[in-house]
Amino acid sequence: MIIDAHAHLSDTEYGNKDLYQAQLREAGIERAVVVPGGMMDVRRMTDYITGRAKPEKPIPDNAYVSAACSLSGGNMTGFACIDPHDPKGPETLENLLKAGFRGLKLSPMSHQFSFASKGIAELTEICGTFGVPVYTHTVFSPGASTAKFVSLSRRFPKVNFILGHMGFGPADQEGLEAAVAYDNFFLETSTGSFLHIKESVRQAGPSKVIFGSEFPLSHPKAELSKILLLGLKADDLDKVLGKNIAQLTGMVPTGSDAR
Amino acid sequence: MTLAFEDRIRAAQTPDLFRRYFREASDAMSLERLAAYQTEALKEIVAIAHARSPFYQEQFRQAGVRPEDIQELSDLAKLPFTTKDDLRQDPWRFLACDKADVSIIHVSTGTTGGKQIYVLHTWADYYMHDLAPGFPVLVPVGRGDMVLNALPYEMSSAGLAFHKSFINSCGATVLTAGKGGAYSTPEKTVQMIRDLQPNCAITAPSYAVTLHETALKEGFDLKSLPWKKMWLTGEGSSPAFRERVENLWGTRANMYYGTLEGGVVGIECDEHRGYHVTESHVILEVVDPKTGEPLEPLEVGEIVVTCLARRDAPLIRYRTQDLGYFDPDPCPCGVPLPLLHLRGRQGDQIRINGIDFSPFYLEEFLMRQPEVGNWYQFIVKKGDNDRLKICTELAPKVTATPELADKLSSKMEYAVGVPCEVEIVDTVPRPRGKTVRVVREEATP
Repeated sequence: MIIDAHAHLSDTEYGNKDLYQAQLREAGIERAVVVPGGMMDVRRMTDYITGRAKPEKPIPDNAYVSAACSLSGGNMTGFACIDPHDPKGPETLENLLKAGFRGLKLSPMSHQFSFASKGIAELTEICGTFGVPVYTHTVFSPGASTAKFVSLSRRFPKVNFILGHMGFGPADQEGLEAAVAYDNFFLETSTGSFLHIKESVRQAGPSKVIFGSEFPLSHPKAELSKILLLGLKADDLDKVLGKNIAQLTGMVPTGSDAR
Repeated sequence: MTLAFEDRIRAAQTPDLFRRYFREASDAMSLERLAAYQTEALKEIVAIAHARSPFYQEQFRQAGVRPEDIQELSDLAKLPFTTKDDLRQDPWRFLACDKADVSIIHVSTGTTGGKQIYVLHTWADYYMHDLAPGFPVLVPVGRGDMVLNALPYEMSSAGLAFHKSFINSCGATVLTAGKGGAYSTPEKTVQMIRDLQPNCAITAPSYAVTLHETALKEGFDLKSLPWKKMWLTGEGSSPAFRERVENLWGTRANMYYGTLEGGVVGIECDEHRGYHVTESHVILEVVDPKTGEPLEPLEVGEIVVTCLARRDAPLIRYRTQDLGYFDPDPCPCGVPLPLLHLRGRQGDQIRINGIDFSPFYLEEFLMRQPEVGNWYQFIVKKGDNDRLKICTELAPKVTATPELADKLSSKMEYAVGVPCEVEIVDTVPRPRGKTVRVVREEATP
């Protein structure tokens, strides 16, 4: 069972659900965890990272993700994206988790918050109650850095945390050290560098690394190639390509995976 | 019976050095030519100081340096530093002229604390030498322009220095609005603006906001005037705060960096990529604050000033306690003068969890929040802090709620990485003097 643990869906020409499903078929991947996209136009991603551009649509389109999941025959699972500054954020998250979403997706670049803020603590508490993970990317801004995300994971040891893209930059040691040290801290591989993914599997173990694509910025097949090139044993490869994220989200195996 | 003033003007001599170099604009001169000028100027200043200034005679003797040791600009590092404490001792010892030749004395604002510093100028230094080089590109003000001068006129050098330059060098009309003096109120200043319609302005960043607020109360929109240019000086400002001022006044606002002791140091152009160093007036160095060793471009250190247009009261390698760095990239505006970036003042840094922050760095992120008003204070204890407490007003039409305070705290922490605690207040006290942005409380035991 291969699960793409991280793809953004948006009602755009470059990131819509039909395009994504076509790319999944091309990659031979059936299942996915999808999150709202389109808050930033990823075709000019560097402009956002350097601060030259601000997110044009900071309100996450969870409804689009919900609709895509409903039409996927159980192959897609959604993570709800919530702005921690939104006073209705906790209520929205609860409702979406009750409606079938299986994780929280945070977007520091879109919403500019600190991982140490009350809003984040409240959302994390809810994730703990529902038994779902917290996924985020990290940025160079000190309040939303990898180190701050690690601190958050230490404050909530019963909640699972997934660090997107292996952290910030090509070889984020703070993220890797946390994955080694803490049971509830995982690394997601999309757009990560091959050597760092390899080192992470070696140091943190295959149960701590999760395959993802970061569609539409990258292609599931391209990201999958990096994992296949690691040369892992079959059991270890299964963990990275699907079992780890299935365990964290409670995704039920379907088809051949159910046997 | 003679006409004393006319006689003085007739007798005035511009030093040959200035005559040879400043027939062209100093902000359009090639760097090679400026370097040649600076080398000559440095040698002259050192010779004058060695010959006539008791303070520098002693300094040079102790350092074992003689005028002939200074042949190139790189030889500047052989000379000893001058500190604020040196200036606090006996200002007369700096003079390279008779005490009776001193025309004007300014006093420090006391921002850095300690004993007052007095800065002495002769008539020749103040007018003939200081005004010899011009900056027509960076300060395109001339006859027919009317400049609102809303800087303090008394004690400090700020108001009078610009008053002098705009009248004598630019040939402009000056509105002597002042700032915070006995007669100078924001209301009278706004009335002046309304009645006389200036097209240029110079003031402090926070006072620009005060004038805007006053104008608003009087039902007058500053943006209705056809501003040609505006300069901000006297206080530091983050780019985000400056942008707010620009929006309130409806014009581009360029920063001007000078010190009481060293005079003009840098002028921004419209590109806002740093200060163009006024190399006609100063040789600037950036040194390691601890070792005094010169630093490379882009390395932040203490700004050190050697004045080239102060011949009767020399000031050599003066440590300003301001922090900054040189930017080696040329400016797209075409002015060849090198770029300097400021990073606050050594004593003003706020320490949070062992990290030092410039208040203007913190201000930058606060002012990026649209809900935050233009008046705020950072409340910190002396020494290290475990969080940054921010008291702030809100922008007009924004309602205070606990959720908003949390949101602002979170956004600030996102940017600066230390715990922030925002307290929303109705009014932050308006200062009469320099704006107090950092309130340092005594640490509680």
